[in-house]
Amino acid sequence: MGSFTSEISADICVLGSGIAGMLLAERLLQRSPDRRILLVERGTTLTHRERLAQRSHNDPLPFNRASLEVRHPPPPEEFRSRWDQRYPFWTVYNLGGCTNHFFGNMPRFHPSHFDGGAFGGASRRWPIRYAELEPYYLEAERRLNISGNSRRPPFRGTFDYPLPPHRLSPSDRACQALFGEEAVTQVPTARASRPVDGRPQCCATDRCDLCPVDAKGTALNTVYPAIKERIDLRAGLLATELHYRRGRIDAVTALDAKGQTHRLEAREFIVACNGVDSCLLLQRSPAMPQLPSLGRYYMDQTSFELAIYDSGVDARPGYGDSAETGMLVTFFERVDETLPVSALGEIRPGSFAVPAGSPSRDRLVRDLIQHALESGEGADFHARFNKAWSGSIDLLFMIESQPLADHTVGIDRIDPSGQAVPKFQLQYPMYFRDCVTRIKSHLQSRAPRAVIKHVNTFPSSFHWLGATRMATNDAEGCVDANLRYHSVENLHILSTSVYPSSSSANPTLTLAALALRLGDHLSPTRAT
Amino acid sequence: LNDLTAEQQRDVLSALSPGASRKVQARAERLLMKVIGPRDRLFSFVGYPPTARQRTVCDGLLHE
Repeated sequence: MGSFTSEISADICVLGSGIAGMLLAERLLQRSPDRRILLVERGTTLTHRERLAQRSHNDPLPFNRASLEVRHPPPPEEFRSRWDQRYPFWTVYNLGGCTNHFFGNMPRFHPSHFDGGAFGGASRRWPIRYAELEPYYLEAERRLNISGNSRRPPFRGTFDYPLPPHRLSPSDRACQALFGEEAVTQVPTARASRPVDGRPQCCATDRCDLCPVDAKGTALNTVYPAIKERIDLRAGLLATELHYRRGRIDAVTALDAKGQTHRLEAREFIVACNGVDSCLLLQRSPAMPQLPSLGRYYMDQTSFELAIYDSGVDARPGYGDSAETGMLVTFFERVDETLPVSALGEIRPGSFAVPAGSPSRDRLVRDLIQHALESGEGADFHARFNKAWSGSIDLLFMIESQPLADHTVGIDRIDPSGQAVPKFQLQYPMYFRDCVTRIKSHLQSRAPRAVIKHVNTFPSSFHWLGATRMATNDAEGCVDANLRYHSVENLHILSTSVYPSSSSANPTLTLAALALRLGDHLSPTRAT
Repeated sequence: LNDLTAEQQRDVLSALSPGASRKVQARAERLLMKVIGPRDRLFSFVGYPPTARQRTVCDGLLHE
């Protein structure tokens, strides 16, 4: 055993118990029930109820919910006051991973997002096509009980959501009235539109990140119960090194909370940590081939928020107003013919329901007050404000990121717990101003009486992508089309870090589809 | 807006007058933000029922 406290062996070792690791483990067991699956989780095994009781996502790890300084050149003057220099890296180290705190939005990527349309083409092309992934999208949606509108999906394709869509909120309907019915459809979501699997129906309020009633489907409440008796789960183990030798990974070193080291052995290793930690583990493993793209091409969809005022609509908060029941799909394929960058609009007036203290929320309320002062008539502020409030809509747009080699993730330091703390380098997206202008202009042309203001800009949508990108060769990417790390026989990366392009959609469903696909790839004789 | 002093209320009123300067409006904006910025105040101001601050309940905007 040497200097290790223990040696743990399995057929397949999966590092990370988020949606990717869990779904992969389940798929592998479906295809080959006798395989020994070792599932390693860096964090705790708190149940949803226990996390709720603590009223926090914070487990005992000091590194959770870190906000890190982004070293990017300042944006143009007009955006500086709205551009946050702190970069939020708010991961959750617990069984179930980031699904414990995600908001549950589960759109697919648009078929065009797998092609080389934007940013000069080849730099964002996926080595797999949408058509190859579509059956896995369908299966992932069924497995995760996604609520969505199959009759009017976000784009043309085969959709068969297992749960009906949420009904549209007043703001969604107001957006339809202003921008056209076809512009708005329901967000496909893991928030159950009716009771399912012992979970209650979602009441569509602004508590989704730690759902008070467990209505949101997560890896923990949806997949884990089906596999927990059949896997070897080791929690509280932090993988610190992949041992590479002659084209293979021999073992992984992992550290427990007491600082003791453990040796994990397996025939296949899957790195299924989040989109940043997956990259950091490769970077901190000294013998690993450090491919040219490792830690480069990092993306996180820059977002901006528009406040829209139109006295002709009634958008006063109601059902779904804080959980984003609707999305604006006008710019989902691309912003326009000459700017082939995708933008997805989330209709989220429920931001007003967030308690004061959030800068973006405060900016929205301040803008609402300002609008009431500037635009109303009469000396009754209460009447003016109510009128402004009832005609106000909050639209958040996530913008497709440009995969640039100098957008990087690296290791800043190793903290006392052994955790690699990341550092990021991101530039302000130069096409961003153009996106805002064109989207505003398009919306204004559809709703000429509306007042449309750009109120907030966010460098992050909490979607960490691209740092171990997929490509057909090791000069351009880290993993091949089957997610195998180039030049390493038995190592696969299953993380949003493999995305060569970011789309503007939330990335979790695509990761779930890739997990099922990888499960089939690793079980070729049993695949259907 | 009763939490504002008489002078502050006059400031808000003058911001509502046609042709109010940007400075006057900015002061009124700051005052109003203090008064109706917090969620419970805002909801009360627009006629919504009280909502819980805790994260352990689904308070819901089921007002429709």
